[in-house]
Amino acid sequence: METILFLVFGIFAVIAGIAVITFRNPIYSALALIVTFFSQAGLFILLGAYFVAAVQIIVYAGAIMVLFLFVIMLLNLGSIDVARPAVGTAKVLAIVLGLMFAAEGIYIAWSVSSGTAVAREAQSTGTTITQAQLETIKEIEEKYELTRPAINQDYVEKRYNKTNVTMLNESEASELIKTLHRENMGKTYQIGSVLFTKFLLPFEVTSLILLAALIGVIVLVKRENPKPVN
Amino acid sequence: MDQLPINVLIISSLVKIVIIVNLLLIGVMAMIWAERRVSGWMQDRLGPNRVGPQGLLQPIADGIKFLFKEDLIPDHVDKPIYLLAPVMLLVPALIICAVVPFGSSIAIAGYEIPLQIADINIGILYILAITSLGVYGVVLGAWASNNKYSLLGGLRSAAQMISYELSLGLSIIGVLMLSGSLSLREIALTQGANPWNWNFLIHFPAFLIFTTSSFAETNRLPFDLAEAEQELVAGYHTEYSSMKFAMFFMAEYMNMIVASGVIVTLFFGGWHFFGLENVGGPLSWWSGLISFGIFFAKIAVFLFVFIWVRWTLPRFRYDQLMNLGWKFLLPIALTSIVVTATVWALTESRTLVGIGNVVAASIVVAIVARFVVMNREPETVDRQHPSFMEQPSSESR
Repeated sequence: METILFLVFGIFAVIAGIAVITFRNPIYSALALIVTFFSQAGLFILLGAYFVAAVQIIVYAGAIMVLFLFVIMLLNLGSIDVARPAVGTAKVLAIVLGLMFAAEGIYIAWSVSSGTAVAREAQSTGTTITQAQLETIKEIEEKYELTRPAINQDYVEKRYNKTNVTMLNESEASELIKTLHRENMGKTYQIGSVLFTKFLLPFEVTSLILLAALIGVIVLVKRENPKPVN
Repeated sequence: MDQLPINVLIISSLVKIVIIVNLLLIGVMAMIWAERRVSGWMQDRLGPNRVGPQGLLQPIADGIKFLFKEDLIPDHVDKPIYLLAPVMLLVPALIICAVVPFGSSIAIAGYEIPLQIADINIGILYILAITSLGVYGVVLGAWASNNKYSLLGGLRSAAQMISYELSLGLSIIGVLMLSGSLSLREIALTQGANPWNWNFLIHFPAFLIFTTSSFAETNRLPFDLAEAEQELVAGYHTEYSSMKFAMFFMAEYMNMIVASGVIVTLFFGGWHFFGLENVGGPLSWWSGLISFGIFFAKIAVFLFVFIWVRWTLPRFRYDQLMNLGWKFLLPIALTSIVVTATVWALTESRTLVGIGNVVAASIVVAIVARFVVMNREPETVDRQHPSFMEQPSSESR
């Protein structure tokens, strides 16, 4: 089910992404971009990051793209019939960037596949939970502030019929770690608490940058109005 | 609450979706009838009263009329988008109601089934996300019509939606802070049965802002500048006829119903009413149905307010609309966040938060009215370059 959904969203995202750059009419391109954003939001949901998915739609599809459409309509851009061919430096840059991007993609795909292979090997052997896994669970508890170990305890009891985390076998433990990660990572509460503790400084700096941009826009837009003479 | 088995979950969800969608459609029909009768009553005339008792079958007659009208597509339109636009307005209106809790819960065959299609933990964000998509139907329909008046309506609508979405989103942050959850069911549950614990008293300015912004988001008078018959023929749906026009029409009423549902959930305790929702004892057929009834009664009150306002207030001018949005609603919403957070952190008293919010909002209104609006220099009208919002310019697009 998850794989099917992933494929659907992924294929939609890629097709719409290609459509963005191939449509001649800017309005159609903008619409295709909205489809891409939606597919991305779907992918975020599959990853358990509900908050990010909602924000993706609110900010990008709901606000930024409306502004894009607004500007396109206001300037009344017709379809661009003759696409300008990419010139000298732009072409070279495009090739270099494309190659870099492709290398990145291949590297990620390779590292992920080798990583899962290692994990699978480790899973198949052990009959009891390893020390490393116990530590990971403890880490998760601390990271997401799961101060009530009862959450874990209940979970373990209901799902695996075992009274204690230490009685799980290795594959069950790795599954538990995965679900714990998934259930807690995307929650709004977790994002909020991390944002205002660990990443407080970057957060504030970002807001300052945005404020500066806002003020800049206002200064640029404000016209000098001569005072009325009375 | 225990998780339902997957087959029960799927079947119950399907049943709920069918019921809710049908109720929405019936609600739209009832609203069309109510709007015309109430406006007739307000203007001291009869309104439609020929088709059926009290004219109750009038919406059906209207529907048949729409179905049998010629469905013409003008030659000069951008066809794919022209056909897509009504759908893009109607679909968000339909899918928002997925997260609105229509009642407590009902016990069927030993399963406790919540009266809500999906209780997701980002419920309110989902609502904000989907409402922000509604504008696409209007904007795209306007652009695809290839008509000067339509385009103006679409531009106005886009600017209006962006302005009012901000205050809409900011006004609910106080509510979220005190209920500690983004799930609409949780928000309704934390308010409880007593009206003096409901959020409209604790967050009174936020409630006003949210309601005002909802009017703007649903394109209702006094914010219906996108249509504005006297200036723009019929605005964004000038070129639409037959069922395609009916879809725009239905979407507007559906949006109103859902907006009322969200207001009731956020600010008026959802399905609670003086403990009446527990009459049948917890988890019985009765209590579920009563809570359902209470919720719809509350929605009906707000729908009446929607009609009442439409036939009472005249339309805003464009600059007034922008002034209201940016100079009043936005600052009030921002102060209400700060005040709610500060007072709650210091005292943890809902009463004090309520008082603080009202006082702060009054101060903000006074400051803005005195120093920003009244001190404004008289605007000189640039006759050579009139604003695109005011008059259709003579040159063609």
